[in-house]
Amino acid sequence: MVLLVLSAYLLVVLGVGLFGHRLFRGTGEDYFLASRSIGPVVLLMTLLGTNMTAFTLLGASGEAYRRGVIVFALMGSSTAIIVPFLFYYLGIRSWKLGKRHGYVTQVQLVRDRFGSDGLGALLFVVAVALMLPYLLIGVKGGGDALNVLTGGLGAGLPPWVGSLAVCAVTYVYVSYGGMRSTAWVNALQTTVFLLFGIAAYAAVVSQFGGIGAAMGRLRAEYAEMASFGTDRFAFLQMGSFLLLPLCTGAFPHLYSHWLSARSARSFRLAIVAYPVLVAAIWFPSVTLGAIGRLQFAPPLDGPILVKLIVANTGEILAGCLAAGVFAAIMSSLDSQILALGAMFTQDIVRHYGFDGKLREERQVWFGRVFVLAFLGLAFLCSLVASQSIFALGTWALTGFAGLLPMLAATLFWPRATARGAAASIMTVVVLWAGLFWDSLSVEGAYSVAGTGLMPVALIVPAATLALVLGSLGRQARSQR
Amino acid sequence: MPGSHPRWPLLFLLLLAGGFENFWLWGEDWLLLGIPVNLAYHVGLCLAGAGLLAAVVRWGWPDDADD
Repeated sequence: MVLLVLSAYLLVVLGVGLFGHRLFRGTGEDYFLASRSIGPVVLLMTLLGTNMTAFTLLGASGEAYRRGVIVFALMGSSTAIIVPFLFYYLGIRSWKLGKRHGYVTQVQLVRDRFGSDGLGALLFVVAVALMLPYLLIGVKGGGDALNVLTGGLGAGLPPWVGSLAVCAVTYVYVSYGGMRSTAWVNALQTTVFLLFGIAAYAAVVSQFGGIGAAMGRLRAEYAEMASFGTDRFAFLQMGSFLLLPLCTGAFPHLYSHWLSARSARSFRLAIVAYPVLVAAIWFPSVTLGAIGRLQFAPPLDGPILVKLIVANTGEILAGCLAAGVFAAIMSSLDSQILALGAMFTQDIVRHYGFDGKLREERQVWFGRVFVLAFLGLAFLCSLVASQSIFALGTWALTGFAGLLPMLAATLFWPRATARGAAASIMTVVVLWAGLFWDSLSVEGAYSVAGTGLMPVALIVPAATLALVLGSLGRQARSQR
Repeated sequence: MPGSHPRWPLLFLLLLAGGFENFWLWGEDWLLLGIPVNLAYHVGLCLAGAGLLAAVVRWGWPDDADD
């Protein structure tokens, strides 16, 4: 039954995605940005769906199972507070410059603004490298979820089947329909995982006698999970997590969605409604993860959300949950691979000598091949990746957050120079690699030298300092 | 550089970021509306954020945003 519901859902997704192709106008701008025609509602849903990944449903509930309701603040309310301001400041200005100069990717903006080819190449390499662990979250999450859902509480389909299904379906509709299909499917998928999230929440919580009764039990049996604790490092850790959502302003796929907006006014709905919808998605995910502790004692062998659904509801709802999880995963994966295709086509194929020599359809074809190879790599990595979804996600987000000072300066600081921007990116690369290496020798949650400070709290200020020091005394080479 | 974003919305951001560190409640585990008080506080913070952002969109929209 689970497979039946899931298959039906995937067919609907494919149908919507392929329908988007019927409106394709045959140009690169239409394929990658839907001719900048996306209105407020689809923009809101697609920005939300793109930013909510397997990390939100599976990673957050898994972390809440381990740490309790504090996870809502660490990842939910921090995102709800920070991200709309990124839309307001960076999104609107990016849209405006993108429309004026015909940009499709961040690299084009940075290359143009600083007049530096090398800087553009550096940003391309770093952004693509950081995309791999982020893509991995979705690919791995799909496999893990389907494995548990199809096996009840025993052995199910091997994880590679779910991972392969996620990759294949997403690749088909993205490569065929481009941004228009991606935006439409995202709007559908965001609605699906919002509705199924609420349905799953209601079904499971009712088994515990309501949310009040469940939280009462949690408080009585695991008091530390119902409070935020009295850890002396908590203040630093909370502050660190407030910096993590800065990554949203540096995601190449979010940049593409910003540029696809019909007008700056299209951002208004997304800016205001985003905090409410983020809370609506994170609240069920975190509370279910926390009360899962009442039913399943550690150690846990599989995503807690999936185990709760399988144990407390019928097979149809389990199938709907599978569809919801796949919706969350694919609504991010599609945007990520579309952005990767755009970057390869615009920043490499067109920029390095093929512009004018190849028809636009041919250039898009190069992007599709690149994305296929990249997805294949992510799939292979998902077979051997051993870190939890939460840990994988946190490291990817940390890297992107480190790129934000440079990108914000590109848009808002006329005195920023190519040297400062390059120093900022290299600082991120060196610190990220060093801290990641250091984390491999640490059991459990990692913080810088055990202080409670997350790596992002070190990387973002260091990247900002490098940008300022590198830019001092030099005039910006271009005021564009 | 195009655009003329006002800076006063950054005060709202600072206000929300300050409210995010609700250390005076961290040790409490009593329930408010059936959920732990810290969780209820942060849900409220998200809703307050939406209210402040509505004010930003209403009174802080860049004049030349759509030019």
